[in-house]
Amino acid sequence: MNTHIVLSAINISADYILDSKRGLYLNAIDNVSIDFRSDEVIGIAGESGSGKSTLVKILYGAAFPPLIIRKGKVYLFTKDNSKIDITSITREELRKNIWWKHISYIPQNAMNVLNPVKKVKDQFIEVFKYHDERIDAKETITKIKELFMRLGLPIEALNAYPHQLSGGMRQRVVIALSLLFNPRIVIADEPTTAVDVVTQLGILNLLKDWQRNSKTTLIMVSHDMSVHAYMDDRIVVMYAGNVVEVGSKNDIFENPMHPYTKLLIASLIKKGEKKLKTGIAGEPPNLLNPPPGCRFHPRCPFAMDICRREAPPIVELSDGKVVRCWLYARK
Amino acid sequence: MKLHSVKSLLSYIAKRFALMIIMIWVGLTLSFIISRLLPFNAADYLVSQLAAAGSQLSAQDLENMRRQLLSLYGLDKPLFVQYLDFLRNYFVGNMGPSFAYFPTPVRDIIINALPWSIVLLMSASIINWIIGNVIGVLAAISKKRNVVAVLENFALVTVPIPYAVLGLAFLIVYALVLKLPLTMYGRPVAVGVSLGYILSMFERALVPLLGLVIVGWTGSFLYMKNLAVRMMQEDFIVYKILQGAKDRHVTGMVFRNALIPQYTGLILGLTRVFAGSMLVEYLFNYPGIGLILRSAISSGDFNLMVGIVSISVIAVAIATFILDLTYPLLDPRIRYPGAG
Repeated sequence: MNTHIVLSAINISADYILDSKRGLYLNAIDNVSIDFRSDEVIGIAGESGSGKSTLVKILYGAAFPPLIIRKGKVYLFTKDNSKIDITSITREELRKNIWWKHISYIPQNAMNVLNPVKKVKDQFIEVFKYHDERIDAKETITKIKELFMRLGLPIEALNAYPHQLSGGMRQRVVIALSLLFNPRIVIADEPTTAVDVVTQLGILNLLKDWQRNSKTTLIMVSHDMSVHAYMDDRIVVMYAGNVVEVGSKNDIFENPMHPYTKLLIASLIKKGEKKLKTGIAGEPPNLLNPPPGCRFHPRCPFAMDICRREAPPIVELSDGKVVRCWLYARK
Repeated sequence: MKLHSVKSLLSYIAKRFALMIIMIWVGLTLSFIISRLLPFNAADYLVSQLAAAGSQLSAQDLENMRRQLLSLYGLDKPLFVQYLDFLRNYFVGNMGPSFAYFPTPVRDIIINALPWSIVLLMSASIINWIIGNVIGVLAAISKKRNVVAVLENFALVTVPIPYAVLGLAFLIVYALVLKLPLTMYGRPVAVGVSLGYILSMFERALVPLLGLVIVGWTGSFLYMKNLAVRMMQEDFIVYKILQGAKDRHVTGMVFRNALIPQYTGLILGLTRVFAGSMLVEYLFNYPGIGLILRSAISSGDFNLMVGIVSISVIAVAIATFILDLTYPLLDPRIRYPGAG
């Protein structure tokens, strides 16, 4: 495979400060390492509160208080193969040269992210300004029109105000915005949660076509396993701030390793199945005071003694599969 | 499409205009009714003044005089006829004569006093609005927590205190503690539309203006700060930050979006100018319309009273009309009601 690592998270741990005087911290991300490769769609799956959005905030370099990074690094590999640590460079550098040019972001709530008092066109022009792209007005418009054409968006939308567009159109405009400078990495944080399934398919196709054509990295965050089944090449499964399993889409769906992934996949409704589905017993742990050892052990049907005492190691199996579970640890 | 939008624009304006006319009519009628609800009238007042002065006139003479004054003022006619006369006169811009300063027309009295109130109160409103809003936005995004806390506490303490107390406190500090020059007694300048006269107005307005501004900006400051703090968490602001917007772009955008509600406050605040401010003018011995209104009420001068109130009513109605016309310029969501 002719791909290379574009973004690499190494041993990230991060907390939300709730009350620093009383020492109340919510451990949202615990020891997460993932490599993101060029030309792939990598999905981050997990339930609400599992740390998906927090993780991508950190990957994007937007870890603002109350979120603090305890340890770990995020390296961005640029086209000329230099290595930039996103967690330690200045805001100004990040803002001007990294965001939108190397790595861009499609936010969770695209319905409300466009400035209501500016035309769509002007919101594109503003982004040029933020990054000191000095090109003349006419050229800018041509560039934006090209982008709209390539993504199959109606040019008229450019002269509209956000409130005049439908929800699906607004979402597409936001996607177009994020692709403005042809970034090598795009993070899509629940891009289809707010729209109906028909629009959802259109938006997913838009993203997928763009990714296939440009051979870039698309990081898809979603709690919806059907979105992952449709989009992803690789899937990262998160549970309570941990990455519990990483594997190719087929491996995750056909041959899940981690007990959580197994139960998750078993709970999905399959075509033609008439059996009543059961959820996973219990509730996700309170991250203010996570359970000792493996965070999944209170709900895990395979829990052993060691699971209650020690955090499981990160086990790398063949074909880039990673699972964090004592069941697969060689002792 | 184009024609349709022009047509809808015209019908929008016509509707708002009709609304404005109705508002003025209701306001005038109410002020007419309220003035007639006073338990005494100008004739009673004048006669009682005469009697109190211990004049030699008999009770019969006083009663005759009262009757004559009533017919002179037109107050002997039935109330309904008075009302119709009143409406007709207002329609042609005639506010009738003042009773207390008979036969000086009310219009002349108002024209003499109104510019004073406008100079003072309008500058105060505009300055307060600008200072309050700018500091409000800056406070919302500032990282200097201590400075912001001082400003905010000052504002929170002063906002609920009535101006009678604050104004007096200001005067005491200004004149007795700091012993600064009092410019509000003015110097003799010929009345008229001359630069010297206008300058002398500002000179007299200086101290009361200072007194109004020192504590007056806090209201719009608090409001703007809360608005801006909430706006900083709006999805579209956060998204702009993640797009790589510079800080000044973010500030500008917060300001632009928060301006929409604040603009209403400014325009409606400006209309208060036309009623003058009895308190401020009394406190600073400033010859504005508020003082005139006070004397009109105490002497039962219906025409002058209604005249001053009607100016205010008309100002509010026109300001609302202007707001309705200019709001769409400020907010595209009103300009182009869309699918959204």
